[in-house]
Amino acid sequence: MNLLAQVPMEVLWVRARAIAVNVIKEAIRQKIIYITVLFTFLLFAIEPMIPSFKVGLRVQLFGDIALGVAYLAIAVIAVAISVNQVPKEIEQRTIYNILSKPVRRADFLIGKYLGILVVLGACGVLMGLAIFGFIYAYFEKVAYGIFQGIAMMFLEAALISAFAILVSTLASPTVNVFACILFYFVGHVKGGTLKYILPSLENFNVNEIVARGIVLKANFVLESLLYALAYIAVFLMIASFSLARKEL
Amino acid sequence: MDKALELENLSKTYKIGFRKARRRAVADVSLSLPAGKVFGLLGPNGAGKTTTIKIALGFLKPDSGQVKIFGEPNSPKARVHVGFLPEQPYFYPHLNAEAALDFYGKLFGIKRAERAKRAKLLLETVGLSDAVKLPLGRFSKGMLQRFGVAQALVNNPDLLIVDEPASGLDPIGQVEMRRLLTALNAEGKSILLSSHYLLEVENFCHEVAIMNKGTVIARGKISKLLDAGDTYSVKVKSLPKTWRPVKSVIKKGHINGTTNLIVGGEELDGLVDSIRSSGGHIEDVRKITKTLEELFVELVGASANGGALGAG
Repeated sequence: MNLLAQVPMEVLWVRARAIAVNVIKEAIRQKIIYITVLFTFLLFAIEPMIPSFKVGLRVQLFGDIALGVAYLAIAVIAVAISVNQVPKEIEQRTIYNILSKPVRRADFLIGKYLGILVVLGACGVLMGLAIFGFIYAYFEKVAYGIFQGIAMMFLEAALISAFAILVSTLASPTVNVFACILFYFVGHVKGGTLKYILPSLENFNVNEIVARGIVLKANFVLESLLYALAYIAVFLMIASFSLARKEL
Repeated sequence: MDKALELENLSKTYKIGFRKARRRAVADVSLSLPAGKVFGLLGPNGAGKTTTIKIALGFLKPDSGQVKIFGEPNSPKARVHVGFLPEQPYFYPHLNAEAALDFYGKLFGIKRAERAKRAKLLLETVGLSDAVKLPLGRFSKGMLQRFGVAQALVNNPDLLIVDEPASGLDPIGQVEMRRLLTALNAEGKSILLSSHYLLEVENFCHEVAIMNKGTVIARGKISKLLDAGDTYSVKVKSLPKTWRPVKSVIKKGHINGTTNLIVGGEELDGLVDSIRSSGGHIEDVRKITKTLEELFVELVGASANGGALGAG
């Protein structure tokens, strides 16, 4: 038997981390992320030029609208980088070079998901810094509350991404995009039968509150975090089950 | 452990189309690869070779049967000892050769210093030392195939599974690949080779299994499978015109002054004596075997009528 240092199978982290790093390296080359981020920055920049900003609660309005734009942008990025992670590996047969090694299919999925989270986190931080910077530059105000809004939208994006990963083990990327759009809208609609099955994404929409400078209560943040984690765990478990049954 | 890989009674059907019609991919396939040997899996396209390999590696779940790797049931843990080169491999185009090998090394939990050492050694072994920093997306087909070998060896596996390794390679590349696999086997690695390049298999494998339509139609040591029976070829130079063939000569031919006689084993001594006494000079006497190509055509044709053969 070979003499190379082997890490026991129980050490999931080593393999998942390697896959996650690869997702990040791949994402760095995805133009859609740069285009979305740049487009978002552009909207931030032109926002204060809108006539309505001449009157009233200028900082609040700017913060609210900028967060709204970032909210949509990060959801778009979450869908764009998640829908193809698994199907592309299968279609291009790169998955064979991974799963022929001592990697469980669940490790593979978790690695993919962790990589996506890092990319979403980086995009969120960039957008948060940009909004913070614009508020400081235009209105000379320090608005730390913006980062609360960014953190909540990160949780929502993480949820959307877990849903996209789940659907990607079952359907084509095109179907997945439509499923994600449906998931997003149902999640933001108050009412309907599906809202009892799918998570209420509206829970994470705190833009208006944080734009007014209100600090979110710790309980609310913790509840939201647990709420998101519970759904993410369920989505990833189903995804893992589905991938384990998949014929490659 | 005396068996590197054991496939026991594997069967697999695919569900096809909207109505989920079932199509048999492999049926009751049993193979055993002794440790340190090279086992060839032969068969025409669609014979079930790749399906068998996919089951062996856990990409597909068999309907029945089991796979053992060095005596352990197939699992990610058992694959610590396995290297795999897929047919026409594809890799992440954004990674360069060094980074890609590092990535695959991480999947085995190999430590950083060992990974770096191993990557350097493997890229040298497969002749890609000049392309260390070149993204894989810019590699030619032949280079990708060679890189595929490097990634399959990243864990210094005891069992190497290679699916059509010569696919897409030019003749020189094919020879190099064969040399490399021979050297790896000489190091003690067990190799399961799936191919439809018969020459590759004939010159290289200790044992083969020939598959057709999802079943193994022949298996055994190549020498026994190719044994055409008790028949010999005798080459004679300067055979006098006065010499008359003995009754037992099956076939006679002349090329550039050399006469080639085919004779049954029981009559060989008589024939040799007869030639010598007539003043003919015997250049060569050898037992006749079939070529793998002949055997393959014969078996694949015959398997349409059912029946399986075995040897060794």
